[in-house]
Amino acid sequence: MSIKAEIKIKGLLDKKWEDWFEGLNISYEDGNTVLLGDLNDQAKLHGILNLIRDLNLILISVEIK
Amino acid sequence: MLLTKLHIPQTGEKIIHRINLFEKLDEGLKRKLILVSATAGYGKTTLISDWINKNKIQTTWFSIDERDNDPNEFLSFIIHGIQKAHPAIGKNSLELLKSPGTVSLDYILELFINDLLQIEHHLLLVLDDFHLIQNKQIINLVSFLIDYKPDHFHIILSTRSDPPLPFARLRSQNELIEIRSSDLNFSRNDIHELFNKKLRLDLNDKDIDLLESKTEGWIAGLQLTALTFQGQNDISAYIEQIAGDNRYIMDYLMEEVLNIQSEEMRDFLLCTSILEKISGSLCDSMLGKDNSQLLLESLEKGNMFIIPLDNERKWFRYHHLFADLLKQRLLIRYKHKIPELHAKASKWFENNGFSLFAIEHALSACNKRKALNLISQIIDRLWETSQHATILKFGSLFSDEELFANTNFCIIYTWALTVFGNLPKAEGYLVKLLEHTKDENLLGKIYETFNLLKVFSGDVDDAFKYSELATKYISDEDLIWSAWAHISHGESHLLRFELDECLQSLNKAQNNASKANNIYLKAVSESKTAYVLRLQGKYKESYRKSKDLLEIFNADTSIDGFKIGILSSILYSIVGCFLVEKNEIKDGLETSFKGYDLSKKATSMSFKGYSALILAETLYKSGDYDKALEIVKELDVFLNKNAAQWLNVLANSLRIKLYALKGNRDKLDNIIKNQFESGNKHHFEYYFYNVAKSRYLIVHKKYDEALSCLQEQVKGLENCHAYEILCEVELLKAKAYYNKKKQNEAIESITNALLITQNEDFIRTYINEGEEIEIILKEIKKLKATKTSKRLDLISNNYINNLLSIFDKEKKIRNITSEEFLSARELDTLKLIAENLSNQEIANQLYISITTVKTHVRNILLKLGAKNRNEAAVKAKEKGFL
Repeated sequence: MSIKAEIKIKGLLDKKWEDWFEGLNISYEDGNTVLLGDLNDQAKLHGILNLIRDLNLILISVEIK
Repeated sequence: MLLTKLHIPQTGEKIIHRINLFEKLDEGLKRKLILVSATAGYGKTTLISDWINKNKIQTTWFSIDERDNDPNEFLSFIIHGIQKAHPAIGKNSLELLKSPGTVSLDYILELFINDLLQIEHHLLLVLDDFHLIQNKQIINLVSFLIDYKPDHFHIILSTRSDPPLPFARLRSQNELIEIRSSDLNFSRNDIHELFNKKLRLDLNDKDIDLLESKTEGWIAGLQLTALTFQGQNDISAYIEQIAGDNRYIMDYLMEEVLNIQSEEMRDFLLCTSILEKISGSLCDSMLGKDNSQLLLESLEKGNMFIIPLDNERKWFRYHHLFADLLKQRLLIRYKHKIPELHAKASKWFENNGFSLFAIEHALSACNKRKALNLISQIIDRLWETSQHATILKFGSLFSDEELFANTNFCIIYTWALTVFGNLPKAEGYLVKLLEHTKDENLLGKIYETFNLLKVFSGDVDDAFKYSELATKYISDEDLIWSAWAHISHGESHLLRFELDECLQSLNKAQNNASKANNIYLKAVSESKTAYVLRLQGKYKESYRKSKDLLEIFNADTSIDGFKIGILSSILYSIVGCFLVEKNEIKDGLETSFKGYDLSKKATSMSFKGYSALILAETLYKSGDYDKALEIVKELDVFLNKNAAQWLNVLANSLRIKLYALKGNRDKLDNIIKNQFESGNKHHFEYYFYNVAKSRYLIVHKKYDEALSCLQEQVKGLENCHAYEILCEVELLKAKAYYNKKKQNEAIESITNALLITQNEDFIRTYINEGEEIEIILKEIKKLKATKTSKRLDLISNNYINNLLSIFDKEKKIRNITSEEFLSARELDTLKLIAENLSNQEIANQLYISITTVKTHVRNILLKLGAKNRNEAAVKAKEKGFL
């Protein structure tokens, strides 16, 4: 039961971070970064959110599609 | 490794002292909790350690990592930390934590809090990186500590996100001080202080403004910026272009920092970023270098986000955020090299005795075979110390094929699965393991684990079968497994009511437990032995054994008193029960209650359940049926289906006995309807339930049915020497015969009982059955005086006389006051009523209010069933109260 997540963070994060974020696709929108992709489950999503917190990136929104 | 986790991080020289935050922290000493919550790089750790330096408060520092999610380990670390300054604090708690599974964590924590009360000055506990704690039990434990800690014990939680603790309540009670990112952010002033006063960089106001807006006062960003200034000619121009394109500032700065390092240093930083803890020797062996220590020290001097973990500068770690940034770059530049780096780290950790780290790096190196190999080396120790959570974690990392290739590990993983209640999965593994295993000792362990599983699922026959196989196959050399197997086998025999065989098994278990010096297994096997001896009517031997063992336990100063208290709980219960049986009621009840109270501190259901059951039996023996029923009801709460089945059987049959003795037919009918019928004639429950059923039949005056049911039990009980129940059967037969007016047969039955029990101090068993037994005993006494017969001559006169005199005393006691009937104050009032005093006069004389007197009078009338004061006085005199 994988989930499709779209996570928006403030500022521009280099594409090289895709591997770090479990292969989520990095794109940009209005000067912000969008991480988009499939995650196994909610636990994985929380793991991603923790990675964002640990880098002191600023979370704008999380959307499950 | 332990010490590095407990090291208070030192602050560098060039730091800004945050005076306004110090004031907040000072204020926090008056509250229950200080929470420092902000994401990475806000200087949480620096602030706290700088404040500790200034405040000089004695501190226990605990740097948490992901491995600390085991509540036992967590509490152990805290206690170890406090013991560095106060060796005596938490000694008992620590001792208890080493034998997990026997004592509840709440109790250990209470004990620890009690110890903290002895410390006379202020003591601070810092839990750093608390966001890494996921375990709910630990959260509860910390919550409890916050609520019940002594006032001079202070707690700081430092975390990247707020943990699920009751902050709202603490806030509303004004018991919380919070320091958050908005407090920690550097202001323009702080930035000025850092760059111009500490680092002497001479920045102008515009530079400072720019830095503030680019980093938003975030300290890690500012510090990394300072590192990149090296080699810049025009700092103002440089500042202007930092992350100008709105990109992630750390990316930008990290790139700059790495660019100004030598190539050697750059590679060193990237490659060592995979290490959670870094030492020179470890890096040397991992990278084939010989100067790692120097590199580490120069990194520290250069403020390169590296933190020493001890005073000797042996162990370091990178700031977590810095390490993440390095690791990401390592991933991009040297992805292919990463497994090899982990493999080398694993090797070093293995050679230096850090098994858990070695395992983790082997797994990261994708070398599962190596990891399995390492796990296999420590798995027995993990099992012996009941670290089931760790075992489960390891097990879940491997595929079935990998597990089956490693039989011993797989068996122990299955054991942990069973303990955690995942029976279907465990059973699947066991079936497969059986197919593939040839080694006899391993086969034995599989059978033993199968037994555990069957005990959990309540399958008596299979449990027996597997325990028998386990004892056959497990080598006697394997002392602990073998002791477990013999205990299991003994328990299986007990469920089949094969008492002699049960004793033999328990005896073997005791021998092995003694040889292995395993106090827990020893206590379990000995206390079970005492119980089985009791079933065989060997009251004196059972009593003596329990008492001896208690003395040994109490005299052994090498074992901690508290641990012994729990292990010996059952022994106290047994001793108390015998004392009451011997009619030493007061001492017996006291001892039995002591056992019961001690057992409450145990987590093991069989300790709690067994002690409670024996207390209920002791209360029954003392004649207090109501309290006995209360305790049986209490048993229901914690005896769920998974708990030992025999305890359920005993609890139910005792309940039936008590309702029958109280003559409570409704309750009795209800239970009988819901219980039984058990088919298998070998089993424990068969006997207990049939004896209980016979009682029920006697209450319903179905004497013939009762007698045939009772008679059916005799042979089997004789065969397994179960004389305690046999005695009960004979007494019930006597009751039935007596009521059928068959005096001779009644006498015959009681004679049987007397011959069984006269050398074993059975007393209350007779007294509680009531006056029918007394009447027949009197008849036997008469017969003995007038006739001679072989059987009658064998009965001791003293024994009969003793029983009869106790029957006699009992009647007097029942007639006389009995404190539970009238309270002391009611009795005082009653005496004055008999003297014809008015309510007012009584009030004056007893120094109580007239309302109270009226209450007493009303109670007295009610209890004596009297219509008025005069009648009360008359009835009281009749009953001998006055």
